[in-house]
Amino acid sequence: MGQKTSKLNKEDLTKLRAETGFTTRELQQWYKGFRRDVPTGQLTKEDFLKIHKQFYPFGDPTDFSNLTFHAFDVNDVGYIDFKSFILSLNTASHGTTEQKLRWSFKVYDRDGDGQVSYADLLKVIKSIYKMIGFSTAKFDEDEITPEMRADKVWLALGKDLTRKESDLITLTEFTNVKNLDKETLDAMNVYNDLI
Amino acid sequence: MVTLKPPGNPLAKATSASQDDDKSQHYEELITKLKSPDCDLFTCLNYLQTHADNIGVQYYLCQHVERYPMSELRFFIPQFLQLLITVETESIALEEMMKQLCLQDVHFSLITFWHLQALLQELSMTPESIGFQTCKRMLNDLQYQLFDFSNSAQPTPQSHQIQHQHHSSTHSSNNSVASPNNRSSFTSKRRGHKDFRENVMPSVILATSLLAGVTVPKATMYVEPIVKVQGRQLKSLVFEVVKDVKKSLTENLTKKNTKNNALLGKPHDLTNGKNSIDGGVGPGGANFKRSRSMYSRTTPASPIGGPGSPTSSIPGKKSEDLNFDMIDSYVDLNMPNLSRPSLTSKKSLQLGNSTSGTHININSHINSSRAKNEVYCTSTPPSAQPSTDHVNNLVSSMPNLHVSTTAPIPSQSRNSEESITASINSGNSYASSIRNSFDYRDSVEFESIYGLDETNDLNSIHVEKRQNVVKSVPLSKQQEIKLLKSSYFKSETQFVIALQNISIRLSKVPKEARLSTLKAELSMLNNDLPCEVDIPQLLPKNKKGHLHRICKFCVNESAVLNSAERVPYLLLIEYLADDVDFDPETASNKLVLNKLETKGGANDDTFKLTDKKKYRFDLAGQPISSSSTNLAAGANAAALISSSTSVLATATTNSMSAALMMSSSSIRSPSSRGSSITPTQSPTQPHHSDIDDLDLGAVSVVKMTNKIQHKRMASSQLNFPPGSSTTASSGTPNNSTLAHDNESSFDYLQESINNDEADSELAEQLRIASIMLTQLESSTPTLPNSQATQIKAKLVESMQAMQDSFGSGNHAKLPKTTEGLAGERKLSNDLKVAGNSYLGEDWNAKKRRIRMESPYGHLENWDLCSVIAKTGDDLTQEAFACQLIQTMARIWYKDHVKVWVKRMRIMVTSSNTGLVETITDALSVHSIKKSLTQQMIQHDELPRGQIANLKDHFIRAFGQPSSGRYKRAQENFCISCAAYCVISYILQIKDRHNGNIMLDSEGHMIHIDFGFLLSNSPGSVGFEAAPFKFPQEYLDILGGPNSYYFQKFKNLMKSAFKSIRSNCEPLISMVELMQRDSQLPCFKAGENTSVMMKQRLQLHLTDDEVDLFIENVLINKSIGSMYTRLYDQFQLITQGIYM
Repeated sequence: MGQKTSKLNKEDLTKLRAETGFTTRELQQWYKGFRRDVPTGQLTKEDFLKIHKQFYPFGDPTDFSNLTFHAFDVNDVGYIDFKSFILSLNTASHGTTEQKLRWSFKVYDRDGDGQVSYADLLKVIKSIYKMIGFSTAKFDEDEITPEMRADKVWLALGKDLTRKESDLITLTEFTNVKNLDKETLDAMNVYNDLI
Repeated sequence: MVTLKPPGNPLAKATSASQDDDKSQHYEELITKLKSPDCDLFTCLNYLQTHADNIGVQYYLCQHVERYPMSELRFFIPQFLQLLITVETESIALEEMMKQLCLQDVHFSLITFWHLQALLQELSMTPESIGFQTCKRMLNDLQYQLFDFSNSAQPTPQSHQIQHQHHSSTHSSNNSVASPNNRSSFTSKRRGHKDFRENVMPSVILATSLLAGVTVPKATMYVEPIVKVQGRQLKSLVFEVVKDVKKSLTENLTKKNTKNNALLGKPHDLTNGKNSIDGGVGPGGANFKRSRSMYSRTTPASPIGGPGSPTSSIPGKKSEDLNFDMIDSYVDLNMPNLSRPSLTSKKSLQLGNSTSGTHININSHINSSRAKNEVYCTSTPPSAQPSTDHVNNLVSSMPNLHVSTTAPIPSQSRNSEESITASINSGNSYASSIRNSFDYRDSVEFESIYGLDETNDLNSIHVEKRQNVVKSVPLSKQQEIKLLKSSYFKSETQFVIALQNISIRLSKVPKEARLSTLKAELSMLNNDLPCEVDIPQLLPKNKKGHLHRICKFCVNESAVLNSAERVPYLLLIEYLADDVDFDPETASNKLVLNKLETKGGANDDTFKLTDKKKYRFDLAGQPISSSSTNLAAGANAAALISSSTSVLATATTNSMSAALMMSSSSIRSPSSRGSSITPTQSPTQPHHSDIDDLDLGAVSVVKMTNKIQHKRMASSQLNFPPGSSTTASSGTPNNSTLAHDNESSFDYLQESINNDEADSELAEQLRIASIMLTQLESSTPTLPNSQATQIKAKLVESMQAMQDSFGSGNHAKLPKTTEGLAGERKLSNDLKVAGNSYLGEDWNAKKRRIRMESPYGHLENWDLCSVIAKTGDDLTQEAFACQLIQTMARIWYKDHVKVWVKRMRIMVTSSNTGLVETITDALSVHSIKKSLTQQMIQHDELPRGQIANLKDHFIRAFGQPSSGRYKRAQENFCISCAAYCVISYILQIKDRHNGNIMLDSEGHMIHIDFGFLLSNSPGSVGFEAAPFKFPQEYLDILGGPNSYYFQKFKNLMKSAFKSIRSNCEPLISMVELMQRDSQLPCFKAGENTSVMMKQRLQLHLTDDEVDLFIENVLINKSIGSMYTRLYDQFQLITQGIYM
């Protein structure tokens, strides 16, 4: 109510300019857009879920939304402010593939121990499948279930299917671009230069 | 925090959407339903309405809708547009879908274009509404798409611009916001995802979908198109322009132009707006009429001042920053002053005269195909001094616009001020002014009302294009196709405007002279044919990828249909079926491309022809050819008359006499033609000051036109023979001179008849005469009454003498306009030609005859169609009625109910104009009875004072009641009558007198004219209280109450009614959708309209009860109803319509 927040303050602006690929003007524009869409300036977990429901109406995005919220909420304050938002957006739209992978590692490594187990992986993949739903999207026969897809990824990262329980994926392995197939690479770059 | 959210917050909206946890379950059902084979577009429309709250669902629905056949999609254009402007949603999928479909199908885009124009007019009362804004945005986008050939693949202006940069090596100007260069190569197969705006929702999804994509790339690809589409959504941000806005707003509030003020929004609103900026809250637009979202989503005004312009560092910023609708429209209105791209003004300076120069400049670029020619001819880089030739061209193109915009007005008002104001303020002429200037996006009206930002843009783009062109970059195949298409659009829109203008001109001419005027106008249009034009919707279906080509109007078969103020007229059009396509490889298209692409080709005859053609269509039938013949000069002068008299009238000049004199003098001095076009740096005009004093902001642009007009006038005056020109300019002609001049011009007219010149020359003469008549009408008070009458009579006489001189064949005379009142009023669908039979010539015979006479008749794909051009009526409602009837017909077809319904097609071309398909081989019951009665009385078969019965007609037309032919006709009558009885009951179609009911040559009954249905009826009294019209004579035709056919009729009615009942959803949802916020008279009852219709369907009754209801209530009440008789009697007495 009555916040005089039509513009981003100088410090934040300078800082964000240094950290992102956005120009001053773009940052101001995005700030305005953010304040317009999120008048409180704080995007909550609930808001986050609502947004996902808008785009994934045919599934249940709750789990996925909860998981990914933390990739945005860098400081673990329970909401996403403009800075967190723009930093995440910057990674997603301007970052290199490796940066994107590094950023997403946070989602997969929920306990933050720097390693991803098969269970962690499967959990995220399950949430994705659940979010998309099966009524409109078609998955290939060989990855019709989250488990099948998880196996594929596990193998692609050079892991042995027999060691699902014990082996772990390190950040280095996870961010190694060489482990990605073309389809994944394409997906990673689909928004390049869009924003 | 939830409390802080303004109502317009998308997240807040999402809340309500997701409150229901069963939603996704619900969506499952939706998908199942969509996937089922019996899901039709009605269902989809319904879903689009009910699931407007979810972006993903909307997107999915639109994807689904796009898969339907194009012909079906075209049918629903009005509904799609209605959805767009009335349904509140965060999704822009539907809008994107429309654009996509427009790209795919030329007819789809034309129809959409015209409908949008009509809607825009309807919504112009509430320019602050989202509906109006949406409409305007769509129209702008579409115009880019339609008329700009260089935009070959992408629907949006942005992408166009970027692509352009890509192609233009000369323009490496760095646009800071413009994307990196590789973006231009980023052409998706479906849509151009070029721009992503500051929208939180899609950007969040964009980011999280990448998180998902690391392990499940399909997830990213799944949501990617939605993200990209939604990212394009342009919501306005907090605005910076607001201070400028406020400043100019106060200035403007002092002005009297009410229309403009309406556009500006009330000052109260502005305060609102300001508050909300401070609070960072959405606009308080609770009172928006068609508000759909609290955020205005203005079109990216596409970079203001494109590349090369100094202001281009922040493309699109201005409009992006506008938050509120009314401010949007305000700025649109005032942009000219706020930020006129320097390119334009530079350009205009080069042309010497700042205001008119700009105008000319804009103008020339709009008619781009022609403009291109000019550009090529002169190949003027922007910095070079334009050649005289160029100026000539430009200036000679000027009056057209002006004439077409002011033509409707002069007779209404002798005061230029008034007439100009009228043209801008009055809703009607506002519409006509839009229509009249084909290139209205750049025309004065458009400029003043719709905002200059786009215009400027277009302009700069055109300038850019011109440079491109000069560099003669070879066009890609894509571009060639686009060029062909845009040329088609141009011809098409001009063609339609030409037809409308004829109607306007006709209404200015006295009744007796209308037919001759019509013939003159048509034969002038014939000069421009054959051309790449057809009539979407009305002509028979095209073969895939092909369009018809109209090659000729049958001038002598045309007819003026009304004696009323509105003058619809009947056209017979010869066309070549499936003769046009957009394949740049075909010989004919190569020719077209050549014309459009290569240098002016002044040495080449064909090119000259094209030039002429383009000019003419531009003029909507006002011929001004570059290689002007003496006719052109005459018409020029005539044009001057019509447009300038209103101006002249302000100063006490006797406009009539001046006009007459000018026309006659120029007729007599063909030598003046060339020079009359030459622009002279005009001296001060006598009446200039009058116009300068106008205090209307919007008039300023019109003023420019007037100046030009003045200039032209001055220049032509200079070239007149000394005698008459002095008289004309002195402004005080005495009556004897006048009489003399008139005399001589008549002589000239007569002479030319004797000489039997070409049709076109005749046409010119006729037009001049009709313009003189118009002038006479409008300025009679200044002349002694008797003299005016005399002149008039003489003119009419000579015109009528000329009207039959077209062609040389011996044609049957057309019904004269001077026939009895009712006869004409109801002729509207009767293709009657006086012959031996009272039924007239049948369609096939007529077709054969015309084919024989036609120079194109030998071509295999020759065909003939007839349409009625209407102006003044709201055809949107009529078209909607036809849609409803067709919907019912579909239900019956699906349900195997064997009734017969005629499909009627109407093409709406603006809010009050359109083309209507005629029913061939059919006559109104009124006409049949009238002719039959006369014939029978002649042969003493009927006592005087009695009216023939329909059964008499059936016997005459089909033989004895026992014969097979008669039985077939009876059968046809039965199955069609049953259908129309159900239709007219359910839709409450009123005004069912015999002029509106037709019988075809096989006995089918057809209802026409749907001015009254659903909730409105003629007069305030419920005259026609019977459920439907079923007079005794219908029963007689069927064979009486105990006959087989009456029984069949009853059964058919029952099954037809029950079929509608059990499939009523599409019908009801259609009415529900269209009645929302609608201004159409048939929705007088508002939201109750659909409720009342539902009640009529008696959904609470069982099937058996319905049978009884039909038998006892509907049929019994209707047969020989007193009300029906009364109404027919009333029509007989008041209108002379036979009962």
